[in-house]
Amino acid sequence: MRTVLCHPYHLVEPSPWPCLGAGGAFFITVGSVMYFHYGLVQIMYLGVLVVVIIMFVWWQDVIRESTFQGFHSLVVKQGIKYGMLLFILSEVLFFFSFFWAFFHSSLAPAVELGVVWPPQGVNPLNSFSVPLLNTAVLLSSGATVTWAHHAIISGKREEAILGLSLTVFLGVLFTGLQGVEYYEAPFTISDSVYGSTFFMATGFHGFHVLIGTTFLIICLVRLKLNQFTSRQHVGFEAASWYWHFVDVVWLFLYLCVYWWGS
Amino acid sequence: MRLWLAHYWLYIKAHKEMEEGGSQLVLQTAPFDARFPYTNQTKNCWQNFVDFHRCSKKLGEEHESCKYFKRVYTSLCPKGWVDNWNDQVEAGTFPGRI
Repeated sequence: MRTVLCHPYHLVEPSPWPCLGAGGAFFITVGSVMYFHYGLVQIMYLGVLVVVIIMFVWWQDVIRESTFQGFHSLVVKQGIKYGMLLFILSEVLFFFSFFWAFFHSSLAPAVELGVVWPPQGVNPLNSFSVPLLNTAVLLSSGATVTWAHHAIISGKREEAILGLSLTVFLGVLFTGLQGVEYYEAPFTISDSVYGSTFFMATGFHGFHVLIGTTFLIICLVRLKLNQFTSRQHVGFEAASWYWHFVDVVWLFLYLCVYWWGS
Repeated sequence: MRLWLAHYWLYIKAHKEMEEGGSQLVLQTAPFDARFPYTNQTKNCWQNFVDFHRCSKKLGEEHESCKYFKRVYTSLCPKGWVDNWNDQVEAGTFPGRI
């Protein structure tokens, strides 16, 4: 049966994923409470597993509808892009709150800290050591993801795969270096408000790097499966926007928390 | 330091004037300090406590200059804070540099 569409919108079929995903999120919430209060992790893990599975099947549906059924018209793509930009804006505000907490505590340090920042007795990390290297790593990854983008637009598949692979490698390298830095840090999250603000801000950034790297890996797989064309690659664009956002957050973290804050 | 000297000078002057006027009792609280212009005087209290200990280290607790700092912080600080800080100074865990 052929249907003729008289409008550019994509009217989605009824789907079980929103409801099941919400159920998974509910399990994570209840499971986290059980973990925090009784050390019981099973329910939380079950919730995470359900959410991960739902993410997989839901986005699998989106890829089917866009790449294989061709439902994503220009208007639909525009809507998705606006949605992604608004999501990133909300993420900016999320990080804004951690920077606010940091500046609240560091611009006028309390008497309990010795009226100095970093607080008396806290030895911060050397900002010109691994953190500077990490800045270079993330900035380079921003360049390689742009290289991959231009390669996709120009239809140069091999170059795109190379550029994106390099980006993923640099992302993993960043996470590894941050892991070593966390392991070697002479302070912990419970060492005064310095530790709290430091690990809250850099920890959430690290978590976002992991999400961004996963997003890029999925793009790499889709690139190898020939799912992107020079005209149709919204998934890749969203991933690169997200990656640039993570990159910019790091620049501010480096300047404020690592350099000025030490 | 210059600010503190100005305060100290005013304080001595008030003292002398009162004594010359025949009055024995001098009533005075902490003067206005331009470094701490806000309502919250926590850091004014803290600074005078730290200055008292730095002063005592150099000139001895009984020196007139150090007594001035002590009068100011006793006037500004809640007693509980001072007790707590004194315990910390004794234990070597006070966060300020003395």
